[in-house]
Amino acid sequence: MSPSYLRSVYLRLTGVLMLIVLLALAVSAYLSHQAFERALVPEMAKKVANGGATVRSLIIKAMEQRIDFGKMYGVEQSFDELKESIREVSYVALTDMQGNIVYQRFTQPRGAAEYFHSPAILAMTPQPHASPLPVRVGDQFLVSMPIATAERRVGMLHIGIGVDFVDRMVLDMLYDVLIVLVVALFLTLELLHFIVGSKFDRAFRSLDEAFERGASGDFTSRFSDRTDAALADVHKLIEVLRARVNSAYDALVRDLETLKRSPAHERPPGLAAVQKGLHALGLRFRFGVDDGTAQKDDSQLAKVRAPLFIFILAEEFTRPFLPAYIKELLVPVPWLSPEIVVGLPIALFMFIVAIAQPSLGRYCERVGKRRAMLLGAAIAAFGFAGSALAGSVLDLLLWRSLCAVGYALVFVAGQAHVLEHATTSNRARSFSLFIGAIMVATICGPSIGGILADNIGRRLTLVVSAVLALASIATIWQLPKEGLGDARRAAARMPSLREIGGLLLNRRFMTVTALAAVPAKVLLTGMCFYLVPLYVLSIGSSQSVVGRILMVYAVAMVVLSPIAASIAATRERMELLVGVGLTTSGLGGVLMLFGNDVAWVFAATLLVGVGQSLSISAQSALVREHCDAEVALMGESSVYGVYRLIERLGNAIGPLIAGVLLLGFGYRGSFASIGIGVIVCGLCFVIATRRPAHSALAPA
Amino acid sequence: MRYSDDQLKATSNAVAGTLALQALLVFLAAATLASFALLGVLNRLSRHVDTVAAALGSADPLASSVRKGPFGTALRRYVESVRNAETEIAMLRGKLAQGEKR
Repeated sequence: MSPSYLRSVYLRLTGVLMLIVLLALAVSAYLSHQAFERALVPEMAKKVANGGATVRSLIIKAMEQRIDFGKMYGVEQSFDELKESIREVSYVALTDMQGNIVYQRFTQPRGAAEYFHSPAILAMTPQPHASPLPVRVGDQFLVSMPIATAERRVGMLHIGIGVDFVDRMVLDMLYDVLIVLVVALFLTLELLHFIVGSKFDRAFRSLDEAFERGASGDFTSRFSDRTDAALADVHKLIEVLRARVNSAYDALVRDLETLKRSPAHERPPGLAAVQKGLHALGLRFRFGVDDGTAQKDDSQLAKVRAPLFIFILAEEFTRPFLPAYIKELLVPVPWLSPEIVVGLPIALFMFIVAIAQPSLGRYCERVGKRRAMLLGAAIAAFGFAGSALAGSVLDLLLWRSLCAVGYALVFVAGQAHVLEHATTSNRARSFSLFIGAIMVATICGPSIGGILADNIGRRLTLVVSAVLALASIATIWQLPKEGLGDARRAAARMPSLREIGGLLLNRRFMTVTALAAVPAKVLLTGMCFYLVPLYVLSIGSSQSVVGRILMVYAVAMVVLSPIAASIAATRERMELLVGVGLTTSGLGGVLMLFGNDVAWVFAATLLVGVGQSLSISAQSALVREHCDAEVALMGESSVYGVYRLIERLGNAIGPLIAGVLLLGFGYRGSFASIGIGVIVCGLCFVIATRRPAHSALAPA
Repeated sequence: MRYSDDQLKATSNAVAGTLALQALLVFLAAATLASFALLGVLNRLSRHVDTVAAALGSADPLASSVRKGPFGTALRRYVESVRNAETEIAMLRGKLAQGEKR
């Protein structure tokens, strides 16, 4: 009852919120359009009139040379020059005193001929100093300027501006408004989940449990039962029914015992049958008091979602502008080209996160998850603040290292918190909660970070990240304080060098790791975190656009990953998904060879997102499939520990590889090179994992 | 001589300020609407819970009004289980009573 019911409540609520967001967006679009049109069209008219004055003076000069109005040469050429200097111009025409078109260029708006013959325009023609006001004709605003000197009246110059110039401006702004509203929707849902969702979930889960227990014939009372205030009355009534059944059963047992103790001749004849019936009843139903098997309180689980979301959001803010910020702080570094230096802070961050996680896992077990998360968030906040004040790329390296240590600590502690509070039955749900918080942050973070960087600047956006990291401390504070050294859990073990060496020489392990996991990560960090932000800015676009592009990647991951994970049921399918995923994401890079504007970057990033979502779950599951013997020998955690370590090192080398490629091949060449590399790895993976088809005939 | 683009940018920025205010008002209106939607959902939920509470306290917990609600199936299974247990206990008690009479 409760999961599906709550899901339907959430879905309806989300639907209503989305509807409200869409309505708000529509209202905002309408208001923006009106405001822009009111304010910008007159300004644009002034700009156009200014350019038109040059054309007008040329014509007047020609008139002074007594050249016939209809026989001038080079008029269209001067119209082209006007268009060249003012891109928004979409039509230019010269009309005579009767409103007939003598010269025209570009696209004539519908109704222009009627407009030129209208009495208002004809009346304006003889007035040399009439002020040009924009008038909407068809799909253009026309600015009409009389061509007249004190002695001679010639006609009118009409310049058209496409109404879509306002639409374009509003559309660009609307993208930002849409992003803000979508993020507001996600934030509202997160907030809703934080404030009431977990309480609701807990309350309804306990009600569901009470109903289910009774329905399955378990009428035992539990001392540990929680009575949530919201549903206390219902719980009490359930308990009344339960107590009624229990007392009827107790009374029967008591009477039976009394009769059993009575002398044999006084015992009723059906006593044995009743006793048998009572035994059968005891097999079908459970009465009395529960034996007290400890029920794990999973309400603590959901509490980690909000701090994780806020903290990861702080880091995700930096994605769209970090490479450009590093470029801004560049100083000459001997032996290293600027392209590689730009990749260094990103690579260092990823490297620290990769190598620090195993040891931080042990630290976290020692001091407790809550304390580790608090410390991690504080270190990261300090790192963000330092990054905002960085004077050069060299001190930025230090501040970003602090951010990386904080990030790794919070990530590891959050993961450990989920592991600690998850039961075997809800482990998948628990991890979806953990991954969900991260994914929502990766959708919201880059887009908002880009908008902030464009509007308040990169340094202040880093300050906002620092504030967010500090805010996450307030939510981490709400996590339960735990005792040190939980005896039930074995301390996290770092894989030994021997184990790492053994796995590095293992062909099956390296097939998944080196041909699938590492290339996927190189593509992610090299292309999405390094090349995309730099390239998009290099073609004159904004950081908001970079944020939107990175958002597309995250949305593709969120939407497609669960679908791909559900398809990856067998080893063959997993291998196929990894091969197809790698090839698809590689094609994303190659796509940049076909075009150079922002739309191509969007398409390329979308392909990378689609490809990665196909392969990500399957490739991690394949480690278990390929390395059964190694898992049996070293344990799953060691094998996966080495796998994650190498995979994350792929994250670290991605920006450096992209930097080297950029040095040699330029942006589009680098996109394509990384893409081709990933496609080659994908094909090699498919060949390496291909098994010979089983022969239908038995060997002779 | 050209018309400066800065003039356009300045106007555009001035409009952006107005728009930010408008967007804030729109957002506030949306937030208010969303709060009402949340209240609506909570009220409905509260009504469902009240119906279940009333049904559990009544002589006929499986009245049609409850059966149609979101808790209907779970409540029906629970009440049927209680009834089955009580019927069997009553049956055994009846057998015991019959034996005693003889």
